[in-house]
Amino acid sequence: MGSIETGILGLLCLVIAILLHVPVGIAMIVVGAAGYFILTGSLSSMLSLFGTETVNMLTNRDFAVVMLFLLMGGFAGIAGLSADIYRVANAWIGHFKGGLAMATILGCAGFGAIAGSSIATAATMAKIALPEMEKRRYSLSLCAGTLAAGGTLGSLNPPSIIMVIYAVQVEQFVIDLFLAAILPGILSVVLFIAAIRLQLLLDPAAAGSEPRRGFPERLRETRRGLGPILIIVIVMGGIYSGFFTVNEGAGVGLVLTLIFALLRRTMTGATFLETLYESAGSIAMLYLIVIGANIFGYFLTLSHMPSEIAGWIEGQGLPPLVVIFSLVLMYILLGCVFDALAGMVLTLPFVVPIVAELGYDLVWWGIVNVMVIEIGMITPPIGINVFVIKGLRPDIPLRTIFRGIAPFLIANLVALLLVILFPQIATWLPDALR
Amino acid sequence: MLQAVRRASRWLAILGLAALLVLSVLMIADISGRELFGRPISGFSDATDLIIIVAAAACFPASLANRQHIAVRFAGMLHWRLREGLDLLGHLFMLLVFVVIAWQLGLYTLDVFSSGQTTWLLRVPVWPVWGTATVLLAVCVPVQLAQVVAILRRFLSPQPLDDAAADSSPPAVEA
Repeated sequence: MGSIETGILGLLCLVIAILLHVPVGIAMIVVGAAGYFILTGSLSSMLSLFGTETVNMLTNRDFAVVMLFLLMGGFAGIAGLSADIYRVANAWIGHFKGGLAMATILGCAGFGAIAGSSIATAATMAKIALPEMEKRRYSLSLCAGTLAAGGTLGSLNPPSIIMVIYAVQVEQFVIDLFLAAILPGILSVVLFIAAIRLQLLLDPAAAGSEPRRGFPERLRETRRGLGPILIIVIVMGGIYSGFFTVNEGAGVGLVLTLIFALLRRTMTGATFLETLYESAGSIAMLYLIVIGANIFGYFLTLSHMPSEIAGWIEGQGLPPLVVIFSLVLMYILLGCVFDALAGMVLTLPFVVPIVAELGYDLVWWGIVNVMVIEIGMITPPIGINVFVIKGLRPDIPLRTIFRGIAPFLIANLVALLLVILFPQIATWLPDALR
Repeated sequence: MLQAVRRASRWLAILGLAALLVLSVLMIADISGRELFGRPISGFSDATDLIIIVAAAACFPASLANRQHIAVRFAGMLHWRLREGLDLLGHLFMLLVFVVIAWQLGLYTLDVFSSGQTTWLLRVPVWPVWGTATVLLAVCVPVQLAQVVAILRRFLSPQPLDDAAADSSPPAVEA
């Protein structure tokens, strides 16, 4: 059996192992190591891969930022920063029809700029915005759809944990990805708000409006909500301006959110310890997946399969956009069976050479990847954000949540299409500031 | 046994991430010193590198104790015993992987000990840090063993069982 056949067989074994309940990170480690052994014939080299890859990841400073951002998101939730952002947004746009839903989208975008995680954003905002919207007789499908879809902004808006993982795997600068995500993030927010308005044109009874707030009240709410705005400005402003590194920015953000939680007396000893404990589980899970992806990536590279596939696709003379759309379609279909993040990590070793071979910017592809993952987070059957909402409100039927998501899914697809057709939406800002 | 290892892993994770918090506070002191007075904390970069290793390694036992990992669990929806059997298979692989990781990390620690490897600036020996990381990853072995025993008991149960990992997560993801 040649090395390419071994690579294909390895990929097949990986899929089978994952479908047999083997955790994704572990499956990549086991299959990757076994394939490495078959190709090199060296047991000691194969075993040492376990050690060297663990050492590489534990000493990886870029990846360590994941720990800081995850903790920062946890403390921000306890500090009530999400409620502040929501109140500010509501004060300014709550008087429009469906204004609370739109404020929820802005709240998700703002909290996502602190939390860095889609699940944390959806869960935190749901606790605040869902009761408010229900009180004002918003339809359950609109409420649930807004929250599940709005939560995805946590992954797209910098700082994003998924972007850190992509940047480490593809060896791109995290800060370039954070910059590239700004315009697509704004585009998604605008399209989500448009989706709410269009939905209300079709079903005007799905939401009401609030009385318009006076300017002094708006200013008062804005002043009260200065905390999270300040954190976002300090952390992201500091990182973008080069005043401090991404790790330092995350460290500063972590301390600031902790100070807010302490000053507001929202944090008890028990919640502090619980946040540390819960974050630890997520941190190790991400480390294990990336260790697995690296070991599996070694095996694939050794098999020459990624370069052969890239060469074969190039040889077909297909228009680059057809290849890109095929890859995006593959990810959307993969998202129906796999966790979207896991799908991205395990396909990067052979997808990235293809995208690079076609001459596309890998920072742009990172943004496209995150946007596809967003779609995977709200599409059946896995759609993790849907289950976050379902977990918080078991009485809302899954069908109602998915019905509510449909308009946002269309908005997501439009945003994705625009970023693919006009890569400048993502690449302009990092190019301009480089 | 599972409760005991959960408690131990909980405190290890808390201590590891508390160290990271302390590091973040020192980071602000370092930035302030550097930007305001032109005097960063000497050797801070070395301390950062070492603390990050221990903090990250301290998270692993907690992750295993809570079964926090991404797994696709569609096949197990066919029958409860098949689900438990496949979960057992996945957790056995996980146990095997952590045995090898702990073993290889131990060898790496011996290597840095014998070579006398130190940090760049402070010239601090790095082997105690890698020794700690090895111990933390070695703790994963009994933690995961306890999980395997617990799932084996479920697999052998004479009564049909509900999915222990279901809760609010989607049917396909154990996270």
